Amino acid sequence: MTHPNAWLKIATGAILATSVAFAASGCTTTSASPDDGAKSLTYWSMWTETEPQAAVLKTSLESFEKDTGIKVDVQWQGRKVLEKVTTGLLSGDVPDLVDQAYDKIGPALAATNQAADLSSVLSTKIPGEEEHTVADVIPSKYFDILPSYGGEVKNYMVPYSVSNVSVFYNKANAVAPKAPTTWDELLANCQKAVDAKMGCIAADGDATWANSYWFDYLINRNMGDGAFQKLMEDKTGAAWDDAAVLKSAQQIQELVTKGYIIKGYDASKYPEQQNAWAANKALYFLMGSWAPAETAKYAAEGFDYGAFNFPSTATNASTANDTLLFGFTVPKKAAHQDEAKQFIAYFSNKDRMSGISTDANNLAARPDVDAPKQLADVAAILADNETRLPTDGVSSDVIDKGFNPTFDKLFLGKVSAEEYVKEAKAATIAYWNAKG
Amino acid sequence: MATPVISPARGRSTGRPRAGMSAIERSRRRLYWPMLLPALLLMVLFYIVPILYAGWLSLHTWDGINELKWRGADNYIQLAKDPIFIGSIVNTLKILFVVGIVTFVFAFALTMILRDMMGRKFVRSVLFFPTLINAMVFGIFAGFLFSPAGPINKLLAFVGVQDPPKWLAQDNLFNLIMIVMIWSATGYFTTIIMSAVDQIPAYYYEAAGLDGAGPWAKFRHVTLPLAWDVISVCAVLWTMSSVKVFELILVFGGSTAQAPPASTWSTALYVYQAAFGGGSREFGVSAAAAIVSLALVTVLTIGLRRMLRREAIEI
Amino acid sequence: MNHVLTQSPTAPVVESAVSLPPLKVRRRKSSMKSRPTIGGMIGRVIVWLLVAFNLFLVVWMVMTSLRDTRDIARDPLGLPTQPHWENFATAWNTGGFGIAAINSVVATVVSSLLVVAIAAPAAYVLAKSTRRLSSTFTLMFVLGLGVPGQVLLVPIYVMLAKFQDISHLKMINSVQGLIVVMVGLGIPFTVFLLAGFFRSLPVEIEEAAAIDGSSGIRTFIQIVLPLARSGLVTAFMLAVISGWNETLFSLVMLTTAENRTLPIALLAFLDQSQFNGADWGGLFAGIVLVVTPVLALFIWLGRRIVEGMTVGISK
Repeated sequence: MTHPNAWLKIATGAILATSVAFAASGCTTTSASPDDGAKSLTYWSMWTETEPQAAVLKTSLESFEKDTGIKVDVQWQGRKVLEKVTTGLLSGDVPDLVDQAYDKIGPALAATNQAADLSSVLSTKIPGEEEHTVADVIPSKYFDILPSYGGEVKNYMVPYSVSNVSVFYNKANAVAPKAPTTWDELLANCQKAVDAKMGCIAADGDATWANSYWFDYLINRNMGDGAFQKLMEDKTGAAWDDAAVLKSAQQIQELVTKGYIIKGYDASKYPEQQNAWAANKALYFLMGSWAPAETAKYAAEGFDYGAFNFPSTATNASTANDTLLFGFTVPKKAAHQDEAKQFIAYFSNKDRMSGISTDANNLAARPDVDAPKQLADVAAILADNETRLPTDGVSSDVIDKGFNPTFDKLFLGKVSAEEYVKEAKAATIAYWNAKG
Repeated sequence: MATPVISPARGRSTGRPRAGMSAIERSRRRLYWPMLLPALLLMVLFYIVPILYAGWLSLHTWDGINELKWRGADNYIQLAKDPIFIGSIVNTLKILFVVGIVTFVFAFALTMILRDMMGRKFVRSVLFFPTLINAMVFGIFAGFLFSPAGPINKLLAFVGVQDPPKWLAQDNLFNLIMIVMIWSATGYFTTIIMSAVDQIPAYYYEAAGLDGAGPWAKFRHVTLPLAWDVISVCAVLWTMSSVKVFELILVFGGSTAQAPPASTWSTALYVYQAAFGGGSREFGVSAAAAIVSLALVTVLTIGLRRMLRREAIEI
Repeated sequence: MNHVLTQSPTAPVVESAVSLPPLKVRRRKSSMKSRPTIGGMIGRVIVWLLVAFNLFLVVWMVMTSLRDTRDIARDPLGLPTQPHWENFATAWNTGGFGIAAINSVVATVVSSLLVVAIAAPAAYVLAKSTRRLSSTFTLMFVLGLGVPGQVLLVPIYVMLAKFQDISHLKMINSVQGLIVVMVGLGIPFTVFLLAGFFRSLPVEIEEAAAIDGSSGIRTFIQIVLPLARSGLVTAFMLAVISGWNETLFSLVMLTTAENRTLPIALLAFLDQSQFNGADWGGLFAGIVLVVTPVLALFIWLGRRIVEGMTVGISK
């Protein structure tokens, strides 16, 4: 057996065995084999299959297949869907239709010029509702606020669901049943709450993304639309010298020093205090409109979800409402762009989109779809006010690295407003300096 | 690359007389390449090529989609200016030195305590077990146990501590992470050190005892020097592991789809975040950070080896 | 950190580091079994408290996995009033842990078998060969142990993506791709561990086999491998544990629910609590799924795992 060919045999056998194993184990390949000429559409969703949003979309996808004969291959990827898409662009495995929030789609696909232009969808007649085009039913303000992220395409997404950020409270609470409209009224109610031995504002120390809504809104109210963006994108840091910035920081500091933020917030992990709020341990909770759905399991008996727009600090202040858009996008490299666009228009039909409200308890992008009961206030806020993006839509990178670390110190009560402004200015300069 | 910290163990084969070319030797020679090649190939594919590729990427800017652009040393300059990257290095060093030293002190203390204790095998197993569990689990546990209204604080209130530390506050988060690391690593190093100490023949202790040595003197003059080699190997092991710490931090601070607070990042977290964390992918920066962490582990291992070797001679 | 430790080269290391004469001196039985000092007493109390805490965590984990989410939020330490088995059903079906468990088992077992199968021949020739080249290769494998995973992350990811683009074999977001990566990354440790083991095997038997006229390959398969069974099992076990806990690469590679492994399913479950609320009961059920197999393995083969990771295989 010491024959020199022994190894050759073994090597051949090994290769053979490997190929057989690959074939037998049904090793998956990327070729989707749409060779039969039939129209098809591959959709990667931000929802996981068991979520109610997925069920709503599934219903429409099925009827779309029936109505158009286009075969839909849907994959419920979950929140990290765009990471999968970016990988796909590298490995040649690209879906035709994707959905996510604007602040995920923008940097991933718009900024890199990988998103198709969806302008044509806006003028498409909606199947089953031929008297309307998509542009007729989805408010133009949603398209207007979309930042281009430096990319060439402006209309890179069509929203089907909207969230907005407002102050939530329990309408059935005994301490301060009336919603405040001004900052001073809010403070007065906070004092009432503290006197009644409960927290006023619920917040989790580690949820900086949520806590920064307070500062973002205050800057907006004190300084107007676009001010926050200026603060973040002024490479010299000079924007921080404005007296109104200090005032906004002082307003945060006041919440902290007067004990208006729920006890233990600086040491808690999201969503602990969110749940405490739902259990009536605090009066107010500034959060996206998903808050009722998230807290439903923890809500105290008789909890009546109400919301009000972030209070104004002066008579002529901006009342713009933070809005987050969730919608469809089509990668530029997608093979079946027309089918994808066709589905976007198809889903914009009122009956189909209304599932987002009735089944998933979210706000639909069409204002004529009734909001779910616990979001009635929120829908009114959205309709009655101007719309803006949180942090004026600046990139998440500058927020994560240039803004959040110092803001934490202010919100957690470790620095005074004056110290904060100084540090934040330095952090902004350092961020842009490092960016080169 | 890391250093040749661990000199390949010499078995008896090297000392074997080479009786010319025996039959076994010949067949072994013929089998040399076929048997070695698959592993070697994987080594090249999964270690050597990627490291070279990372070095090359670190000189470019690339989002993984569009054209790759030459950037020279700018990625490294950007890192040097980035307070978050510097912070991640500091955190990694804290893990290495603070966690490392405390863990070793604990491991030695445990070894001493366990030496003559009933049920030492059982105790050792129970303390060892956390080493085998995915650290993410501990991150989730800690969030529960240390929450403001959680069990630890309730327990403290029960014994009269009314104002407990703010465990999960950002300032303390990293300290808590270090505590969890100490807890989960102590059992592992205790086991190693125990097995080394167990091999020290009893008569050394008996001799020391006859010379009138107390427990401390025995530890200082018998245990420590004789176990020194193992300690130095453990130190190198710890260096390698400390640079890799990832899961625990990822879960500890980040509760939802968000990234954990930048103040808790280790170099591994930084590399991950730069490449896959945010919306935009910065493969170049990520690769540069990766190369820096590779340099870090190399320098640290060499330095540590030197330092420990000298001390061993001293004793 | 933990799974990193399991990949560490402790086994042969310690064996070679402790170069004390292998005297079969049992631990001094008589010496200090008498009464411990006060310090010793306190130490023992602390040790038992620590043991109690670790055991408590396991019990608490199981208890909590059987409780209602709202209950857990109210009192994280409570006992289940009635067992909520549906948590496991939720986790298994809707939480995606069921498919993840299957993926984890497949990825771990297949990759561990492959890595041992590929590493064993290489380790054998490296351990027995006297060529000068061998020590270079051995050194290369040793150096591989010190390379932090994050250095390889982006390059391997890009390489796999490009390979997929060319070959149309799914590498990214597929269990088979993860297996390939786990095999590649596991090579240095497994080669190192097994090389140490093969060195300790007596040469005489092989020589006898060679004289009998067995070919090298037959000697290896029929004589050496059976002799090395315990070392191979240990290597396999350690590969299983590190594969089971693998997070960094899985996190980047596996995105779709049907391809996730357990650690990634756990992370996805945490992510999902945004928008639709956290399900603590389901989460703990998921944690139980992650921990239990390792716990069972540890109870069953604990001694071997501990020895593999620490004292090596000196018997």
